[in-house]
Amino acid sequence: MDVRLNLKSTVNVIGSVADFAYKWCLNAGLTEEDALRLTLALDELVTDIVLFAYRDEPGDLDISFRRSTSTVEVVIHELGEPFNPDRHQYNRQAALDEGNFEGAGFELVKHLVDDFIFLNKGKGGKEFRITKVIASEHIADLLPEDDLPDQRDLAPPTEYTLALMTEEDAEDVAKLIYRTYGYTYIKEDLYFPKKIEMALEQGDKFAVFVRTTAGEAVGYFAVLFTTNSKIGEVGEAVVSPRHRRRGIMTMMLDALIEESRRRGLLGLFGEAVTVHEISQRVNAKFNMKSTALLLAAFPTARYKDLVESYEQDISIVIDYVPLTDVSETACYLPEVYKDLLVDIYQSLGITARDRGVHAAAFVEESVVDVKISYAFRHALLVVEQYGEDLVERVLETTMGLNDEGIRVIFIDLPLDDPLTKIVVPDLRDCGFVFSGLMPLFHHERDYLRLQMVFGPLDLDQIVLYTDMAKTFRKQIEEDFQWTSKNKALA
Amino acid sequence: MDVEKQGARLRVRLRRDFNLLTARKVNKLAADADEIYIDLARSRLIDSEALIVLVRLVRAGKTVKLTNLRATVKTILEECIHILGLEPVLTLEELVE
Repeated sequence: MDVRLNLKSTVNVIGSVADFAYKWCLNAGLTEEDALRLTLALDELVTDIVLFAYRDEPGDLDISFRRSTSTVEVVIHELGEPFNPDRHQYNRQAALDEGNFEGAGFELVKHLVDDFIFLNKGKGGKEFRITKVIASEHIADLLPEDDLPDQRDLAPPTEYTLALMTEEDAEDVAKLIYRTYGYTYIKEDLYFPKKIEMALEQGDKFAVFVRTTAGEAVGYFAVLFTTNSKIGEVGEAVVSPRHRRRGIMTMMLDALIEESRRRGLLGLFGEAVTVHEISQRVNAKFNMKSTALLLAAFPTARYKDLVESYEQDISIVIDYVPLTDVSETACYLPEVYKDLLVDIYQSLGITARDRGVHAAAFVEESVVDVKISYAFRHALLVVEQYGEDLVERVLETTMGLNDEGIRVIFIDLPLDDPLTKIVVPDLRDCGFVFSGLMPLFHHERDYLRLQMVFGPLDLDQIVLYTDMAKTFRKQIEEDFQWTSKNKALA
Repeated sequence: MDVEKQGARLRVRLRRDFNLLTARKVNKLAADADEIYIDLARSRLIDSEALIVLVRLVRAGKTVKLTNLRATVKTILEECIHILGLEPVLTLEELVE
Protein backbone atom coordinates (compact mmCIF):
# COMPACT_ATOMS: atom_id res chain seq x y z
CA MET A 1 0.00 0.00 0.00
CA ASP A 2 1.27 3.47 -0.88
CA VAL A 3 1.90 5.75 2.08
CA ARG A 4 2.55 9.46 2.47
CA LEU A 5 4.16 11.13 5.47
CA ASN A 6 3.96 14.86 6.18
CA LEU A 7 6.71 15.85 8.58
CA LYS A 8 8.72 18.78 9.88
CA SER A 9 12.40 18.77 9.03
CA THR A 10 13.79 18.32 12.52
CA VAL A 11 16.76 16.19 13.42
CA ASN A 12 14.51 13.90 15.45
CA VAL A 13 12.51 12.70 12.43
CA ILE A 14 15.54 11.09 10.77
CA GLY A 15 15.50 7.96 12.94
CA SER A 16 11.73 7.56 12.84
CA VAL A 17 11.63 7.91 9.06
CA ALA A 18 14.37 5.29 8.74
CA ASP A 19 12.53 2.89 11.08
CA PHE A 20 9.32 3.24 9.10
CA ALA A 21 11.05 3.04 5.72
CA TYR A 22 12.90 -0.15 6.60
CA LYS A 23 9.74 -2.00 7.67
CA TRP A 24 7.81 -0.65 4.69
CA CYS A 25 10.54 -1.77 2.26
CA LEU A 26 10.53 -5.28 3.73
CA ASN A 27 6.75 -5.49 3.41
CA ALA A 28 7.00 -4.26 -0.17
CA GLY A 29 9.20 -7.25 -1.00
CA LEU A 30 12.79 -5.98 -0.83
CA THR A 31 15.43 -8.25 0.66
CA GLU A 32 16.84 -7.24 4.04
CA GLU A 33 19.99 -5.82 2.46
CA ASP A 34 18.16 -3.88 -0.26
CA ALA A 35 15.69 -2.56 2.31
CA LEU A 36 18.70 -1.28 4.26
CA ARG A 37 20.26 0.27 1.17
CA LEU A 38 17.09 2.17 0.29
CA THR A 39 16.56 3.18 3.92
CA LEU A 40 20.12 4.46 4.16
CA ALA A 41 19.66 6.45 0.94
CA LEU A 42 16.51 7.99 2.40
CA ASP A 43 18.31 8.72 5.68
CA GLU A 44 21.01 10.58 3.71
CA LEU A 45 18.48 12.70 1.82
CA VAL A 46 16.43 13.55 4.89
CA THR A 47 19.61 14.42 6.79
CA ASP A 48 20.66 16.81 4.02
CA ILE A 49 17.24 18.45 4.07
CA VAL A 50 17.36 18.80 7.88
CA LEU A 51 20.85 20.31 7.72
CA PHE A 52 20.69 22.52 4.65
CA ALA A 53 17.23 23.02 3.12
CA TYR A 54 15.71 25.02 5.95
CA ARG A 55 18.39 26.93 7.78
CA ASP A 56 16.39 29.15 10.11
CA GLU A 57 13.59 26.91 11.24
CA PRO A 58 12.24 23.46 10.35
CA GLY A 59 10.07 23.36 7.24
CA ASP A 60 7.72 20.93 5.55
CA LEU A 61 9.00 17.57 4.47
CA ASP A 62 6.76 15.27 2.49
CA ILE A 63 7.72 11.64 1.88
CA SER A 64 5.73 9.26 -0.33
CA PHE A 65 6.36 5.53 -0.44
CA ARG A 66 5.14 3.82 -3.59
CA ARG A 67 5.46 0.24 -4.73
CA SER A 68 4.72 -1.92 -7.73
CA THR A 69 5.43 -5.61 -8.20
CA SER A 70 8.88 -4.87 -9.56
CA THR A 71 10.08 -1.70 -7.83
CA VAL A 72 9.73 0.42 -4.74
CA GLU A 73 10.01 4.18 -4.99
CA VAL A 74 10.39 6.85 -2.33
CA VAL A 75 9.65 10.46 -3.27
CA ILE A 76 10.94 13.19 -0.95
CA HIS A 77 9.55 16.65 -1.48
CA GLU A 78 10.57 19.87 0.28
CA LEU A 79 10.22 23.60 -0.16
CA GLY A 80 13.55 24.75 1.21
CA GLU A 81 16.33 26.85 -0.31
CA PRO A 82 17.19 26.40 -3.98
CA PHE A 83 19.83 23.77 -4.47
CA ASN A 84 21.78 22.22 -7.31
CA PRO A 85 23.27 18.80 -6.46
CA ASP A 86 25.66 19.03 -9.42
CA ARG A 87 27.49 21.79 -7.57
CA HIS A 88 28.06 19.58 -4.54
CA GLN A 89 29.99 16.66 -6.01
CA TYR A 90 31.86 14.41 -3.62
CA ASN A 91 35.64 14.47 -3.94
CA ARG A 92 37.45 11.48 -2.39
CA GLN A 93 40.78 13.24 -2.26
CA ALA A 94 39.32 16.29 -0.55
CA ALA A 95 37.65 13.98 1.97
CA LEU A 96 40.87 12.14 2.76
CA ASP A 97 43.28 15.09 2.62
CA GLU A 98 41.21 17.96 3.97
CA GLY A 99 38.34 16.26 5.78
CA ASN A 100 35.96 17.93 3.33
CA PHE A 101 33.03 15.54 2.97
CA GLU A 102 30.73 17.76 0.93
CA GLY A 103 28.48 15.65 -1.28
CA ALA A 104 29.24 12.39 0.58
CA GLY A 105 25.55 11.76 1.28
CA PHE A 106 24.56 12.13 -2.37
CA GLU A 107 27.45 9.94 -3.44
CA LEU A 108 26.11 7.15 -1.23
CA VAL A 109 22.55 7.66 -2.48
CA LYS A 110 23.65 7.35 -6.12
CA HIS A 111 25.32 4.01 -5.47
CA LEU A 112 22.85 2.50 -3.03
CA VAL A 113 19.74 2.76 -5.20
CA ASP A 114 18.91 1.67 -8.74
CA ASP A 115 17.55 5.05 -9.82
CA PHE A 116 18.04 8.50 -8.32
CA ILE A 117 16.33 11.51 -9.83
CA PHE A 118 16.45 15.11 -8.63
CA LEU A 119 13.71 17.40 -9.86
CA ASN A 120 13.80 21.13 -9.37
CA LYS A 121 10.18 22.23 -9.53
CA GLY A 122 10.84 25.94 -9.21
CA LYS A 123 8.36 27.50 -6.83
CA GLY A 124 6.93 24.03 -6.34
CA GLY A 125 10.04 23.03 -4.42
CA LYS A 126 12.44 20.18 -4.94
CA GLU A 127 11.86 16.50 -5.29
CA PHE A 128 14.23 13.58 -4.80
CA ARG A 129 13.16 10.19 -6.12
CA ILE A 130 14.92 6.98 -5.24
CA THR A 131 13.97 3.50 -6.39
CA LYS A 132 15.08 -0.03 -5.82
CA VAL A 133 14.19 -3.02 -7.98
CA ILE A 134 12.69 -5.95 -6.09
CA ALA A 135 15.06 -8.88 -6.55
CA SER A 136 13.45 -12.19 -7.34
CA GLU A 137 14.32 -15.59 -8.75
CA HIS A 138 13.87 -15.89 -12.54
CA ILE A 139 11.86 -18.87 -13.75
CA ALA A 140 14.75 -19.92 -16.03
CA ASP A 141 16.84 -20.50 -12.90
CA LEU A 142 14.14 -22.76 -11.47
CA LEU A 143 13.79 -24.96 -14.54
CA PRO A 144 16.12 -27.72 -15.78
CA GLU A 145 18.58 -26.48 -18.41
CA ASP A 146 16.98 -28.47 -21.23
CA ASP A 147 13.48 -27.12 -20.50
CA LEU A 148 13.35 -24.87 -23.53
CA PRO A 149 10.48 -22.94 -25.06
CA ASP A 150 7.71 -25.23 -26.30
CA GLN A 151 8.24 -26.14 -29.96
CA ARG A 152 6.22 -29.34 -30.05
CA ASP A 153 3.30 -30.07 -32.40
CA LEU A 154 -0.33 -29.30 -31.61
CA ALA A 155 -1.67 -31.10 -28.57
CA PRO A 156 -4.29 -33.83 -29.07
CA PRO A 157 -7.89 -32.69 -28.49
CA THR A 158 -8.72 -32.34 -24.81
CA GLU A 159 -11.13 -30.65 -22.41
CA TYR A 160 -10.13 -27.47 -20.59
CA THR A 161 -11.02 -26.11 -17.17
CA LEU A 162 -10.94 -22.43 -16.35
CA ALA A 163 -10.63 -21.00 -12.84
CA LEU A 164 -9.64 -17.80 -11.11
CA MET A 165 -5.92 -17.91 -10.53
CA THR A 166 -4.50 -18.37 -7.04
CA GLU A 167 -0.99 -17.87 -5.60
CA GLU A 168 -0.35 -21.62 -6.06
CA ASP A 169 -0.55 -21.16 -9.85
CA ALA A 170 2.23 -18.52 -9.93
CA GLU A 171 5.08 -20.84 -10.84
CA ASP A 172 3.02 -22.49 -13.60
CA VAL A 173 2.29 -19.04 -15.08
CA ALA A 174 6.00 -18.20 -15.20
CA LYS A 175 6.77 -21.58 -16.80
CA LEU A 176 4.01 -21.10 -19.36
CA ILE A 177 5.34 -17.66 -20.30
CA TYR A 178 8.91 -18.91 -20.55
CA ARG A 179 8.03 -22.00 -22.57
CA THR A 180 5.83 -19.98 -24.91
CA TYR A 181 7.89 -16.84 -25.45
CA GLY A 182 11.43 -17.67 -24.33
CA TYR A 183 12.87 -14.38 -23.10
CA THR A 184 10.84 -12.11 -25.37
CA TYR A 185 7.65 -11.47 -23.39
CA ILE A 186 7.28 -7.75 -22.83
CA LYS A 187 6.08 -7.92 -19.19
CA GLU A 188 9.24 -8.99 -17.41
CA ASP A 189 7.57 -9.56 -14.03
CA LEU A 190 5.98 -12.71 -15.41
CA TYR A 191 9.33 -14.52 -15.37
CA PHE A 192 9.44 -14.24 -11.58
CA PRO A 193 7.01 -16.55 -9.71
CA LYS A 194 7.46 -14.63 -6.45
CA LYS A 195 6.47 -11.35 -8.11
CA ILE A 196 3.37 -12.95 -9.64
CA GLU A 197 2.45 -14.38 -6.24
CA MET A 198 2.98 -11.03 -4.54
CA ALA A 199 0.92 -9.14 -7.14
CA LEU A 200 -2.00 -11.48 -6.47
CA GLU A 201 -1.59 -11.33 -2.69
CA GLN A 202 -1.50 -7.55 -2.71
CA GLY A 203 -4.48 -7.22 -5.01
CA ASP A 204 -2.51 -5.65 -7.89
CA LYS A 205 -4.26 -7.95 -10.33
CA PHE A 206 -6.62 -10.86 -10.75
CA ALA A 207 -6.40 -13.50 -13.42
CA VAL A 208 -7.92 -16.61 -14.92
CA PHE A 209 -5.99 -19.76 -15.56
CA VAL A 210 -6.75 -22.61 -17.94
CA ARG A 211 -5.56 -26.19 -17.55
CA THR A 212 -6.16 -29.36 -19.50
CA THR A 213 -8.01 -32.14 -17.72
CA ALA A 214 -4.58 -33.69 -17.16
CA GLY A 215 -3.57 -30.57 -15.24
CA GLU A 216 -1.24 -29.02 -17.86
CA ALA A 217 -1.17 -25.22 -17.67
CA VAL A 218 -2.14 -23.84 -21.09
CA GLY A 219 -3.63 -20.36 -20.68
CA TYR A 220 -3.36 -17.29 -18.49
CA PHE A 221 -5.01 -13.87 -18.78
CA ALA A 222 -4.89 -11.09 -16.17
CA VAL A 223 -6.49 -7.77 -15.38
CA LEU A 224 -4.02 -5.41 -13.72
CA PHE A 225 -4.79 -2.45 -11.52
CA THR A 226 -2.28 -0.02 -12.96
CA THR A 227 -4.21 3.22 -12.46
CA ASN A 228 -5.70 4.95 -9.44
CA SER A 229 -9.19 4.42 -10.78
CA LYS A 230 -11.83 1.72 -11.04
CA ILE A 231 -10.59 0.46 -14.39
CA GLY A 232 -8.33 -2.45 -15.21
CA GLU A 233 -5.65 -3.16 -17.77
CA VAL A 234 -5.88 -6.38 -19.76
CA GLY A 235 -2.16 -6.57 -19.79
CA GLU A 236 -0.91 -10.14 -19.56
CA ALA A 237 -2.09 -12.99 -21.72
CA VAL A 238 -0.64 -16.24 -22.95
CA VAL A 239 -1.91 -19.43 -24.57
CA SER A 240 0.40 -22.36 -25.10
CA PRO A 241 1.16 -22.66 -28.86
CA ARG A 242 0.12 -26.32 -28.70
CA HIS A 243 -3.40 -25.31 -27.64
CA ARG A 244 -4.04 -22.25 -29.83
CA ARG A 245 -7.05 -21.74 -32.12
CA ARG A 246 -9.30 -23.60 -29.70
CA GLY A 247 -11.10 -20.59 -28.26
CA ILE A 248 -9.05 -20.45 -25.05
CA MET A 249 -8.28 -16.72 -25.36
CA THR A 250 -11.95 -15.86 -25.92
CA MET A 251 -13.02 -18.11 -23.05
CA MET A 252 -10.54 -16.38 -20.74
CA LEU A 253 -11.48 -12.85 -21.81
CA ASP A 254 -15.19 -13.54 -21.38
CA ALA A 255 -14.47 -14.81 -17.87
CA LEU A 256 -12.31 -11.78 -17.09
CA ILE A 257 -14.98 -9.34 -18.26
CA GLU A 258 -17.57 -11.10 -16.12
CA GLU A 259 -15.23 -11.03 -13.12
CA SER A 260 -14.40 -7.35 -13.77
CA ARG A 261 -18.09 -6.46 -13.75
CA ARG A 262 -18.59 -8.47 -10.57
CA ARG A 263 -15.79 -6.47 -8.96
CA GLY A 264 -17.41 -3.20 -10.01
CA LEU A 265 -14.85 -2.12 -12.62
CA LEU A 266 -16.05 0.60 -14.97
CA GLY A 267 -13.87 -0.22 -17.95
CA LEU A 268 -10.94 -2.21 -19.30
CA PHE A 269 -8.06 -1.02 -21.43
CA GLY A 270 -5.17 -2.60 -23.26
CA GLU A 271 -1.86 -1.31 -24.54
CA ALA A 272 -1.08 -2.56 -28.04
CA VAL A 273 2.36 -2.22 -29.57
CA THR A 274 2.58 -0.63 -33.01
CA VAL A 275 5.50 -2.63 -34.37
CA HIS A 276 2.87 -4.82 -36.02
CA GLU A 277 -0.93 -4.98 -36.17
CA ILE A 278 -1.43 -8.20 -34.23
CA SER A 279 -2.17 -6.90 -30.73
CA GLN A 280 -4.31 -4.08 -32.10
CA ARG A 281 -6.34 -6.57 -34.14
CA VAL A 282 -6.87 -8.77 -31.11
CA ASN A 283 -8.10 -5.79 -29.08
CA ALA A 284 -10.44 -4.73 -31.89
CA LYS A 285 -11.79 -8.28 -32.11
CA PHE A 286 -12.75 -8.02 -28.45
CA ASN A 287 -14.65 -4.79 -29.14
CA MET A 288 -12.06 -2.45 -27.68
CA LYS A 289 -11.86 1.00 -29.25
CA SER A 290 -8.69 3.03 -29.80
CA THR A 291 -8.62 6.13 -27.61
CA ALA A 292 -4.98 7.28 -27.64
CA LEU A 293 -1.61 6.89 -29.33
CA LEU A 294 1.37 7.07 -26.96
CA LEU A 295 4.52 7.89 -28.87
CA ALA A 296 7.82 6.13 -28.14
CA ALA A 297 6.48 4.74 -24.88
CA PHE A 298 8.75 1.65 -24.84
CA PRO A 299 12.48 1.90 -25.59
CA THR A 300 13.36 -0.53 -28.37
CA ALA A 301 16.64 -1.37 -26.67
CA ARG A 302 14.68 -3.18 -23.97
CA TYR A 303 12.94 -5.40 -26.50
CA LYS A 304 15.65 -6.12 -29.00
CA ASP A 305 14.87 -9.85 -29.00
CA LEU A 306 11.27 -9.06 -29.83
CA VAL A 307 11.72 -6.40 -32.51
CA GLU A 308 15.12 -6.86 -34.09
CA SER A 309 14.47 -4.80 -37.18
CA TYR A 310 12.47 -1.96 -35.63
CA GLU A 311 14.68 1.07 -35.46
CA GLN A 312 12.87 3.49 -33.18
CA ASP A 313 11.23 3.41 -29.78
CA ILE A 314 7.91 1.61 -29.73
CA SER A 315 4.69 3.59 -29.69
CA ILE A 316 1.53 2.06 -28.28
CA VAL A 317 -2.19 2.39 -28.86
CA ILE A 318 -4.56 2.54 -25.91
CA ASP A 319 -7.67 0.49 -26.61
CA TYR A 320 -10.62 0.72 -24.23
CA VAL A 321 -13.95 -0.93 -23.59
CA PRO A 322 -16.50 0.50 -21.12
CA LEU A 323 -18.14 -2.00 -18.79
CA THR A 324 -21.07 0.20 -17.79
CA ASP A 325 -23.86 1.75 -19.79
CA VAL A 326 -22.98 5.42 -19.92
CA SER A 327 -24.56 7.05 -22.95
CA GLU A 328 -23.76 10.71 -22.32
CA THR A 329 -21.12 12.92 -20.81
CA ALA A 330 -20.66 16.66 -20.48
CA CYS A 331 -17.09 17.96 -20.37
CA TYR A 332 -14.83 20.82 -21.32
CA LEU A 333 -13.41 19.96 -24.72
CA PRO A 334 -10.47 22.10 -25.87
CA GLU A 335 -11.36 23.73 -29.18
CA VAL A 336 -8.42 22.34 -31.15
CA TYR A 337 -9.26 18.71 -30.30
CA LYS A 338 -13.01 19.03 -29.82
CA ASP A 339 -14.21 17.14 -32.91
CA LEU A 340 -11.70 14.36 -32.43
CA LEU A 341 -12.60 13.89 -28.77
CA VAL A 342 -16.31 13.81 -29.64
CA ASP A 343 -15.53 11.08 -32.21
CA ILE A 344 -13.58 9.03 -29.68
CA TYR A 345 -16.43 9.24 -27.17
CA GLN A 346 -18.84 8.30 -29.95
CA SER A 347 -16.83 5.19 -30.75
CA LEU A 348 -17.26 4.18 -27.10
CA GLY A 349 -21.00 4.65 -27.42
CA ILE A 350 -20.96 7.91 -25.47
CA THR A 351 -22.34 11.21 -26.69
CA ALA A 352 -20.02 13.96 -25.50
CA ARG A 353 -21.44 17.42 -24.98
CA ASP A 354 -19.05 20.35 -24.72
CA ARG A 355 -19.88 22.50 -21.71
CA GLY A 356 -18.49 25.59 -23.40
CA VAL A 357 -16.35 28.22 -21.70
CA HIS A 358 -16.92 28.75 -17.99
CA ALA A 359 -15.35 31.39 -15.84
CA ALA A 360 -12.95 29.68 -13.47
CA ALA A 361 -10.04 30.98 -11.46
CA PHE A 362 -6.58 29.53 -11.25
CA VAL A 363 -5.33 28.99 -7.72
CA GLU A 364 -1.85 30.27 -6.93
CA GLU A 365 0.02 26.99 -7.14
CA SER A 366 -0.63 23.98 -9.32
CA VAL A 367 -0.78 20.46 -8.00
CA VAL A 368 0.82 18.04 -10.45
CA ASP A 369 1.57 14.42 -9.63
CA VAL A 370 4.62 13.02 -11.41
CA LYS A 371 4.81 9.29 -12.10
CA ILE A 372 8.07 8.07 -13.57
CA SER A 373 8.53 4.77 -15.34
CA TYR A 374 12.22 4.14 -14.75
CA ALA A 375 12.22 0.98 -16.82
CA PHE A 376 10.73 2.69 -19.87
CA ARG A 377 12.29 6.12 -19.24
CA HIS A 378 9.01 7.97 -19.63
CA ALA A 379 7.02 10.09 -17.19
CA LEU A 380 3.40 10.98 -16.69
CA LEU A 381 2.33 14.31 -15.22
CA VAL A 382 -1.21 14.28 -13.86
CA VAL A 383 -2.73 17.71 -13.27
CA GLU A 384 -4.72 17.60 -10.06
CA GLN A 385 -5.24 21.33 -9.69
CA TYR A 386 -4.61 24.19 -12.10
CA GLY A 387 -2.51 27.02 -10.74
CA GLU A 388 -1.25 30.22 -12.31
CA ASP A 389 2.15 28.57 -12.53
CA LEU A 390 0.99 25.46 -14.41
CA VAL A 391 2.78 25.97 -17.73
CA GLU A 392 5.95 27.16 -16.02
CA ARG A 393 5.81 24.22 -13.58
CA VAL A 394 5.19 21.69 -16.35
CA LEU A 395 8.06 23.02 -18.44
CA GLU A 396 10.48 23.07 -15.51
CA THR A 397 9.54 19.51 -14.60
CA THR A 398 9.72 18.39 -18.22
CA MET A 399 13.19 19.83 -18.73
CA GLY A 400 14.36 18.45 -15.38
CA LEU A 401 13.10 14.98 -16.31
CA ASN A 402 14.73 15.18 -19.72
CA ASP A 403 18.05 16.10 -18.06
CA GLU A 404 17.67 12.89 -16.06
CA GLY A 405 17.29 10.81 -19.23
CA ILE A 406 13.51 10.64 -19.48
CA ARG A 407 12.65 10.45 -23.20
CA VAL A 408 8.92 11.08 -23.31
CA ILE A 409 6.61 13.17 -21.15
CA PHE A 410 2.87 12.55 -21.04
CA ILE A 411 0.52 14.97 -19.35
CA ASP A 412 -3.06 14.19 -18.34
CA LEU A 413 -5.54 17.08 -18.12
CA PRO A 414 -8.96 16.59 -16.49
CA LEU A 415 -11.80 17.09 -18.94
CA ASP A 416 -14.25 18.02 -16.19
CA ASP A 417 -12.22 21.15 -15.37
CA PRO A 418 -13.04 24.30 -17.38
CA LEU A 419 -9.42 25.43 -17.16
CA THR A 420 -8.32 22.55 -19.41
CA LYS A 421 -9.75 24.53 -22.33
CA ILE A 422 -7.55 27.49 -21.43
CA VAL A 423 -4.36 25.58 -20.74
CA VAL A 424 -4.27 23.31 -23.81
CA PRO A 425 -3.31 26.06 -26.32
CA ASP A 426 -0.48 27.17 -23.99
CA LEU A 427 0.86 23.64 -23.68
CA ARG A 428 0.57 23.20 -27.44
CA ASP A 429 2.59 26.39 -27.86
CA CYS A 430 5.29 24.79 -25.73
CA GLY A 431 5.50 21.74 -27.97
CA PHE A 432 3.05 19.28 -26.43
CA VAL A 433 1.05 17.36 -29.03
CA PHE A 434 -2.12 15.30 -29.00
CA SER A 435 -2.10 11.79 -27.58
CA GLY A 436 -5.75 10.98 -26.92
CA LEU A 437 -8.53 10.34 -24.46
CA MET A 438 -7.75 8.44 -21.27
CA PRO A 439 -11.23 7.40 -20.12
CA LEU A 440 -11.68 7.24 -16.33
CA PHE A 441 -7.91 6.99 -15.89
CA HIS A 442 -7.54 8.80 -12.56
CA HIS A 443 -10.10 8.80 -9.76
CA GLU A 444 -12.88 7.82 -12.20
CA ARG A 445 -12.45 11.03 -14.25
CA ASP A 446 -11.77 11.37 -17.99
CA TYR A 447 -8.49 12.98 -19.07
CA LEU A 448 -7.08 14.44 -22.24
CA ARG A 449 -3.52 13.21 -22.70
CA LEU A 450 -0.87 15.32 -24.44
CA GLN A 451 2.73 14.27 -25.02
CA MET A 452 6.20 15.61 -25.71
CA VAL A 453 8.86 13.38 -27.27
CA PHE A 454 12.55 14.16 -27.07
CA GLY A 455 14.52 12.86 -30.00
CA PRO A 456 13.59 11.91 -33.55
CA LEU A 457 10.57 9.78 -34.34
CA ASP A 458 9.29 8.71 -37.75
CA LEU A 459 5.50 8.58 -37.51
CA ASP A 460 5.30 6.59 -40.75
CA GLN A 461 7.05 3.66 -39.09
CA ILE A 462 4.22 3.32 -36.59
CA VAL A 463 1.97 0.45 -37.72
CA LEU A 464 -1.68 1.19 -36.94
CA TYR A 465 -4.73 -0.97 -37.44
CA THR A 466 -7.86 1.02 -36.58
CA ASP A 467 -9.04 4.07 -38.51
CA MET A 468 -9.32 5.95 -35.23
CA ALA A 469 -5.66 5.34 -34.39
CA LYS A 470 -4.71 6.56 -37.87
CA THR A 471 -6.68 9.74 -37.18
CA PHE A 472 -4.61 10.24 -34.01
CA ARG A 473 -1.43 10.03 -36.06
CA LYS A 474 -2.81 12.63 -38.49
CA GLN A 475 -3.64 14.95 -35.60
CA ILE A 476 -0.16 14.45 -34.15
CA GLU A 477 1.40 15.26 -37.53
CA GLU A 478 -0.66 18.45 -37.67
CA ASP A 479 0.44 19.35 -34.16
CA PHE A 480 4.10 18.77 -35.02
CA GLN A 481 3.75 20.96 -38.11
CA TRP A 482 1.97 23.63 -36.10
CA THR A 483 4.72 23.53 -33.47
CA SER A 484 7.46 23.88 -36.10
CA LYS A 485 5.65 26.79 -37.77
CA ASN A 486 5.09 28.39 -34.39
CA LYS A 487 8.78 28.08 -33.51
CA ALA A 488 9.80 29.52 -36.87
CA LEU A 489 7.52 32.53 -36.37
CA ALA A 490 8.85 33.03 -32.85
CA MET B 1 22.58 5.98 24.44
CA ASP B 2 24.26 4.15 27.32
CA VAL B 3 27.65 5.62 28.20
CA GLU B 4 30.43 4.17 30.29
CA LYS B 5 33.74 5.96 30.86
CA GLN B 6 36.86 4.47 32.42
CA GLY B 7 39.75 6.89 32.23
CA ALA B 8 40.57 7.38 28.55
CA ARG B 9 38.32 4.51 27.52
CA LEU B 10 34.79 5.30 26.36
CA ARG B 11 32.10 2.69 25.80
CA VAL B 12 28.81 3.73 24.27
CA ARG B 13 25.87 1.55 23.40
CA LEU B 14 23.54 3.09 20.85
CA ARG B 15 19.82 2.51 21.24
CA ARG B 16 19.11 3.46 17.64
CA ASP B 17 20.83 4.08 14.31
CA PHE B 18 24.28 5.60 14.06
CA ASN B 19 23.11 8.76 12.30
CA LEU B 20 23.35 12.56 12.53
CA LEU B 21 21.95 12.73 16.05
CA THR B 22 23.94 9.88 17.59
CA ALA B 23 27.10 10.71 15.63
CA ARG B 24 27.09 14.21 17.10
CA LYS B 25 26.75 12.79 20.61
CA VAL B 26 29.50 10.22 20.10
CA ASN B 27 31.78 12.91 18.68
CA LYS B 28 31.23 15.09 21.72
CA LEU B 29 31.71 12.26 24.22
CA ALA B 30 34.86 11.07 22.46
CA ALA B 31 36.64 14.41 22.78
CA ASP B 32 38.70 13.36 25.80
CA ALA B 33 38.88 9.62 25.12
CA ASP B 34 41.66 7.63 23.46
CA GLU B 35 39.79 4.36 23.01
CA ILE B 36 36.21 4.39 21.85
CA TYR B 37 34.01 1.29 21.73
CA ILE B 38 30.66 1.72 20.01
CA ASP B 39 28.14 -1.06 20.52
CA LEU B 40 25.84 -1.20 17.48
CA ALA B 41 23.73 -4.22 18.44
CA ARG B 42 20.58 -2.10 18.16
CA SER B 43 21.58 -0.11 15.07
CA ARG B 44 20.48 -0.84 11.55
CA LEU B 45 22.19 2.04 9.80
CA ILE B 46 25.55 3.73 9.83
CA ASP B 47 25.17 6.79 7.66
CA SER B 48 27.65 9.27 6.16
CA GLU B 49 27.46 11.56 9.21
CA ALA B 50 28.59 8.66 11.36
CA LEU B 51 31.34 7.74 8.90
CA ILE B 52 32.61 11.31 8.95
CA VAL B 53 32.85 11.17 12.75
CA LEU B 54 34.64 7.81 12.58
CA VAL B 55 37.17 9.18 10.08
CA ARG B 56 37.81 12.22 12.25
CA LEU B 57 38.31 10.14 15.38
CA VAL B 58 40.70 7.73 13.64
CA ARG B 59 42.55 10.63 12.04
CA ALA B 60 42.92 12.16 15.51
CA GLY B 61 44.87 9.06 16.52
CA LYS B 62 42.12 7.50 18.61
CA THR B 63 41.37 3.79 18.65
CA VAL B 64 37.82 3.19 17.46
CA LYS B 65 36.08 -0.18 17.59
CA LEU B 66 32.56 -1.02 16.47
CA THR B 67 31.08 -3.97 18.31
CA ASN B 68 28.10 -6.30 17.91
CA LEU B 69 27.33 -5.34 14.33
CA ARG B 70 24.65 -7.33 12.56
CA ALA B 71 25.84 -9.10 9.41
CA THR B 72 23.76 -6.91 7.09
CA VAL B 73 24.97 -3.73 8.78
CA LYS B 74 28.56 -4.88 8.29
CA THR B 75 27.91 -5.59 4.59
CA ILE B 76 26.43 -2.17 3.93
CA LEU B 77 29.11 -0.45 6.01
CA GLU B 78 31.80 -2.06 3.86
CA GLU B 79 29.97 -0.91 0.72
CA CYS B 80 29.75 2.67 1.99
CA ILE B 81 33.45 2.79 2.92
CA HIS B 82 34.23 1.59 -0.59
CA ILE B 83 31.84 4.03 -2.33
CA LEU B 84 33.41 6.97 -0.50
CA GLY B 85 36.94 5.65 -0.98
CA LEU B 86 37.70 5.72 2.74
CA GLU B 87 39.77 2.50 2.81
CA PRO B 88 43.03 4.36 3.53
CA VAL B 89 41.52 5.45 6.85
CA LEU B 90 38.75 2.98 7.66
CA THR B 91 38.89 -0.77 7.14
CA LEU B 92 36.47 -3.32 8.51
CA GLU B 93 39.37 -5.40 9.85
CA GLU B 94 40.55 -2.59 12.06
CA LEU B 95 37.19 -1.06 12.81
CA VAL B 96 35.00 -4.02 13.65
CA GLU B 97 35.69 -6.07 16.75
